Amino acid sequence: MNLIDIILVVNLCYRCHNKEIEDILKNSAHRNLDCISCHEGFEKFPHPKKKVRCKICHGEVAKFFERSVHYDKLGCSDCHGKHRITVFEIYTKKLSISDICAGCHTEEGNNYKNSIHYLALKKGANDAPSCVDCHSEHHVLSSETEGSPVYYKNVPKTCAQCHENKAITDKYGISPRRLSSYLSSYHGIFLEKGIPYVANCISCHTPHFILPAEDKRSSIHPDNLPKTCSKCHPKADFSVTKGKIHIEVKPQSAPHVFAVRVFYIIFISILVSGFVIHIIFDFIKFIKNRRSHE
Amino acid sequence: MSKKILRFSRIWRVQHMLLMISVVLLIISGFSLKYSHTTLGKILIFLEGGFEARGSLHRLSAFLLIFTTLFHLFYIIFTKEGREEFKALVIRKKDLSDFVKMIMYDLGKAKERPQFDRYSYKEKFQYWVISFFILIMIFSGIILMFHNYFFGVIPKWLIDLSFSFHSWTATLVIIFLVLWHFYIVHLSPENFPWNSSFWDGYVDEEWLKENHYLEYKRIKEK
Repeated sequence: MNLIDIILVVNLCYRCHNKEIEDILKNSAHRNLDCISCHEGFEKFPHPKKKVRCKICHGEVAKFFERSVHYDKLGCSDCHGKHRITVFEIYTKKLSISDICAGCHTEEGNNYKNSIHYLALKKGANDAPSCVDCHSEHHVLSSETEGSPVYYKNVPKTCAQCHENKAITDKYGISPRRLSSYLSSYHGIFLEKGIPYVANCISCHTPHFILPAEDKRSSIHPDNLPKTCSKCHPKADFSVTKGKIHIEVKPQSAPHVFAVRVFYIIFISILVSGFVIHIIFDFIKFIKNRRSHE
Repeated sequence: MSKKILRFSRIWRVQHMLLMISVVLLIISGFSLKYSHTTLGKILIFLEGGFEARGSLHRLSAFLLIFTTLFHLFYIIFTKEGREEFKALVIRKKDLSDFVKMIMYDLGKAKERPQFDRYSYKEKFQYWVISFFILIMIFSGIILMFHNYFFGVIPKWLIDLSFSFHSWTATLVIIFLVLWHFYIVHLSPENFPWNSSFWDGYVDEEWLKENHYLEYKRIKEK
């Protein structure tokens, strides 16, 4: 029997270390692991100065984490806890994620916890996003990095995962087709062409304090809309509330724009058929004349 | 060589030239915005020097068109020649009967082609439709160009309406020019492959006699 087996059998670690850790560990996702699975080489005393290396098992995830902004500043245990690594349970996990992030990102955390996304999650709407749904879990990047889901060019795509998803918009009765109606606007076209100063979703809806237009505190409540728009359009006042922002060319959404389209389609059809008929008549006569001359 | 007759004065040709340059530039730069996601749109944007340069080109040519419009208004109000040209362009009862006669002639129900004065109903129709379109384009375009100012003045739905009008009228202008203008001055039997009078102002006496007999007669009587 070698030293490692002895440690495993009689569990020498708890001779010195707090026995509480054993209980915590036994209730964690790592319940089937021993101390030295993570604390490599600690069977020797004095223990080597060696950090726990999660990536021995969690290699895939670690690769993402190593490319994230958090890599220099944080370790795995800062978010996941040391011994208390919980079993993956979506509901509790999703709701508590923001608590973990808010540990450092206080302001963002507060804003998020007042937003409709958090409130919906609290009410059991499990599709509502927590921090990681927009910022990704391990591959968290600055909003100034091109590959980030919150980079200005990617924001609409990120929000569209739910807000352009018919299954979700139908399920919760929220406004559908927010991406397509954005992309057909000047804002959307300019963003697609890589103009950074143009408004994307969060420019108007705010990044974290997202609330429906009915909420008085919302940046898109009619009372607040002039202020929101005037960040870029200094002259904007309450005239911007008279009409929709996400225009869809449909009778219910924008009847006036829809009417223009219908009118023009009919008008163009009549005009074009009139022209074509006239041109064809002229040509038939022209050919007939030529034949009779010959 | 048949005899040539001066049909279009220099100031007339200059106006046509300005209109042509500004409208062609506006169509190219506007099309590349409306269809910016298509391959053709992307190629055009590249040729225009990028997306923002495209916008500047569109606004610049818009100013040229506005200038041309004002120039034309000045011409038809304050110059004798302009007033006469305008009078010749006014739509009269004769134009409707000419149109009916032309169709009858095409169908073989009438023996003679209708005799046109300086401008036939085809040309008059073109002048008035394009003028009307240009007015819509200028008014809606001004709202869009100065949207930052108009945000505080007119309701949002009116801006959306301007956008819609601008875009659809542009579509109509393109269809109109390609179908009707190209037909009249390029593809129609009497002008094929093109009528060079827009450039030097001269037409063949024979051509004028055949296509604008009343104008021809008036010139000869002088």
